Amino acid sequence: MRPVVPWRPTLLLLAAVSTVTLAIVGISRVEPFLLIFWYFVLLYSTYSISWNIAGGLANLFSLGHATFFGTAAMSFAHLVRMTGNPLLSIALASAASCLLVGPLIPAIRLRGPFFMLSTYALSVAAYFVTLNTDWFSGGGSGIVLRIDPAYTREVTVFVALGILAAASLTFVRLKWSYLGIAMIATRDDEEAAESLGIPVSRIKLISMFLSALFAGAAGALHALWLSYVHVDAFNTTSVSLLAPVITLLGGKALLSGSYIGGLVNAVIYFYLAAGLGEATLLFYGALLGAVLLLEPDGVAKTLQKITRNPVFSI
Amino acid sequence: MQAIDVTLLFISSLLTAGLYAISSYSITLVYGVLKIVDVSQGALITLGAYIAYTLKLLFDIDPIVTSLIAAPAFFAYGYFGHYEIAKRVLEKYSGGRVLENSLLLFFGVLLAFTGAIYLVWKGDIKAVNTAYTLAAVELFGLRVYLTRLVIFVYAIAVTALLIYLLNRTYTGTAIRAVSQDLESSLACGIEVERMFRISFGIACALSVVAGSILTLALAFSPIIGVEFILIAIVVTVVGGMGNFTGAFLGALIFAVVDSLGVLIVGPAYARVVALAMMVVVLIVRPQGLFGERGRI
Amino acid sequence: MKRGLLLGIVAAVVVVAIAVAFVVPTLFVQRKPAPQEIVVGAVLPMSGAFSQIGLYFKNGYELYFSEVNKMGGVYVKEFDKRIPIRLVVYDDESDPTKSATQLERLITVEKVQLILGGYSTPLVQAQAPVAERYKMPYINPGGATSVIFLTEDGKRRYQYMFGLLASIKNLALTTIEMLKQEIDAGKLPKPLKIATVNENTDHGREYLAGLKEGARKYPGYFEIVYEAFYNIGEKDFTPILTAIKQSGADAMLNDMRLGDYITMHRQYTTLGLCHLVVSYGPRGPEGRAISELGKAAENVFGVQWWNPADPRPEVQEFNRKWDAWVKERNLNLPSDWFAAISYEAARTLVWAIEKAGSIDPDAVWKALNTLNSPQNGLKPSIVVGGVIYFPEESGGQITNPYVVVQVQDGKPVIVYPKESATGTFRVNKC
Repeated sequence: MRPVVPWRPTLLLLAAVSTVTLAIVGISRVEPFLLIFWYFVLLYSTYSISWNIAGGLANLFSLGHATFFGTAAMSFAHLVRMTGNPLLSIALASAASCLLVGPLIPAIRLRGPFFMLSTYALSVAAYFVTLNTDWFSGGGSGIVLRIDPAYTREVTVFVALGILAAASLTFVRLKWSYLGIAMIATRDDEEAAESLGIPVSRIKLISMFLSALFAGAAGALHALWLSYVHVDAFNTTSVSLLAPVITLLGGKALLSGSYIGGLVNAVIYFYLAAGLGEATLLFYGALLGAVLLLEPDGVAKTLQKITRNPVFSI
Repeated sequence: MQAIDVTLLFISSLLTAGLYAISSYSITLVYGVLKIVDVSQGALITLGAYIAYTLKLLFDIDPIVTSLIAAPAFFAYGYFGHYEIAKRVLEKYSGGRVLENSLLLFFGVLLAFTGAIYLVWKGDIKAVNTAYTLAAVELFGLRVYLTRLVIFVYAIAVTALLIYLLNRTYTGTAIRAVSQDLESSLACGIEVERMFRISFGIACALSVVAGSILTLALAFSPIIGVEFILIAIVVTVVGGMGNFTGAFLGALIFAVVDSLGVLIVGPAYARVVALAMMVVVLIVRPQGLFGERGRI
Repeated sequence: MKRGLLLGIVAAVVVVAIAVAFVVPTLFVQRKPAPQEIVVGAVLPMSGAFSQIGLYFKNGYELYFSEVNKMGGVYVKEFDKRIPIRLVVYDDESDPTKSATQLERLITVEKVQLILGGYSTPLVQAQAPVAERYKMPYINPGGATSVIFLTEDGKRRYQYMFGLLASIKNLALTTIEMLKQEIDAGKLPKPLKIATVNENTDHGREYLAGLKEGARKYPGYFEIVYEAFYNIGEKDFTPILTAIKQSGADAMLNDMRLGDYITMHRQYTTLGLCHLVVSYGPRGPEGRAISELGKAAENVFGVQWWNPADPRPEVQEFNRKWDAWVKERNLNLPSDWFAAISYEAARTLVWAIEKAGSIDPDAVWKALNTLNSPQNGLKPSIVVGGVIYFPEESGGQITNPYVVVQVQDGKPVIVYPKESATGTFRVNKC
């Protein structure tokens, strides 16, 4: 029995996002800041989807997503220098970040919190190793990139849209596939799933790879946007912890959850962070705490209960 | 490398182990009793450091004295305040979800506290200067930092006190009972919730003490606690979650591996070596080198 | 399905409506002939690791602007009037990943007409592509690593970058020059064995490269017997100090930032190390270092872009102005290069506006480009050498001389070059 993939709500969601993107590109002639804001919405949403694939669908809570984000960002810097082609570099850099799943392979069969700790440890390790491998990372100063001027702000936003679409489609296709359903079974009761013959470790591994792939795409994309990479792309607090916070806030295991999380985070970043200044960390922490205690399934779930719209159930 | 200088490094790191040990006792205790990982103790470590700094700045109070003042104050905080956070998690979730969500929740609390500290004290690096900050002591013919020696002695005292508390008092025995078998403890009439509260009280007191005395040896910023809690986690994983002697030995092992790592792969990668060690232990012997499930 | 489509259409209409709301007002607001004020933006580390210096820069900029505003403002020929000038600061939290976005926001949201630079090489590097993209001249008093100015093949990296701090390589070379003089005078052994510990950044690497170049320039004078890199924020220097002790070096020449210098030098002193000469690159005689290290800071020297003890009258005048300014605002910021160079950056920008006769970034940029050599430079100036200029060959980075400042009897004393000296160099007795 093949599960029915809910393409319609997905495509609807993507169509909405694309329309908004087009509108914003148009308005950006007069109000360029909107474009910058929207780029960050797309970026954060993609990053959230990447975390959601592992954390939402397969219950692999990663506290070290910066590892993939950062590796791809750094790889992008070197690839773009070698190939001169940003799009190709993004693709290759994303693949490079998948390699970082390697060290996690032995840790995959650990219980939840220990897996989390392993990902955190990997993230911290990746930061230090990268910081000290200066040919790779530019050490404490980072690397400045020379990007083809054809990649204007508008073009980069469209690239972001493309990546977001790819991530979204992958997420939905995965969730409603044999693999996805097996993941749900694994999530609920790993031992029972094992006994049913479901290859738990293999499933977890695949989720991790896909998760790393898109986290990497987000990292490489951001390097393109900034024309600059710095080892802070591996930073645990600002990058690693951001992924679960925004995804849990928006809605774990829900595509719309990632979109909401991305949007909310962009709003926080641009409109609140300036006012909050040093209180930003405080705010994120309080937010995470509030979400976990009040609505563990996220804003999207609440919206689904209110509107009962299929868009919030995918 | 000359033998004497290796020994100096070795001894220096052993003394630092005292600091790592104290900072890991709090999460060891909480995990042992409530089976949740409270990483927000890291924020209390940071707070301890800043309180020591402020009291030194304003009233010229030595950090050791500060630790003695802060300990009971934070015991009260842990008993009445911090426990409430854990209570919410325990009520909201059950089974396997508790551990994961508690970790995430306490991460949130850690971030929030750290953020609050940033607000009050700003982000630049601070340090505490006492009359004996630069003093050195001759030990086996080597010059060793006096402050580290003081910290080490303090750590031993704290460890001894904890072991005494846990083994020779009624409360301590009750806490150990709860950590070993919750249901039986309830059946025996132990006030489990009170034991939880006391455990949190002790944990918070320990963290703030660790924070205060670390200022003797190190310069710090608001993320010092986060760094220490990461080390504390490595130490407890290696030594054994929920086991004090294990934690102490784990701290020693960590300190030695860290400094050997410096000698072998250089200062930058030393931390990576220690982290790798943690992962290896997690995989090979998940209950830690000296741990047994459910024992403090 | 129909409901979904309806929802989608409603959403799109809402978005378009918001967009129109944004656009329409701007069509009605006519651009006045002359702006009410000139708004200059700067992204500075007001929180985080560099917050202290961010505060210095903000006040340096504001001090100059307040002087200009006392006279009614900047004279802009295009409108034939004086227009007051105002500074808007965004905080990048000492985080390079935030720095670039903040600058972009400053330009697109606050719509500042011109910008001034930030502090510290990684933050400046992150901001540079943004300035270049929006074609805004970037006067940089906060990033000295030549990587900001030149590409690997020695060409100018950014057309819009103008640096007020000479390169770190020159900093190292100045140290070498001074030490060579001391070696020739017989005060130091030849060859001088050097141990060098540097921060793991372009800054640190450039310093090391400068030392090595200096050693090559004077064969037989210098020998580097130990070199190491460390990560910023390192707390335990025991292993490195142990290795330095073993290397048998006579001199310790490091490049470290203030916090790390204080941490390491404390441990250095406790472990009983001693060298004939000790330097921490641009660090050494800072007020804070002297107060925190006490006697341990004695005879440590730093090579600086500027020092308040410089006897020139214009420097002393600046010190008076600065001290009055910070006293008024209850700030504990003793006069230092952070104050002076940021002040000069603001002054250079205002000069460029007046020279161009316009606040149009392109015109201002052209005006700045005329300052391409010491002869064509902006004088007088409180910077060392007395003139501000941005040569093409160094990618727009000023190449003025440094001063060497040593802590003697608890006070900073300028010991090199002879023209700016207020004392003579002292060698440690070990």
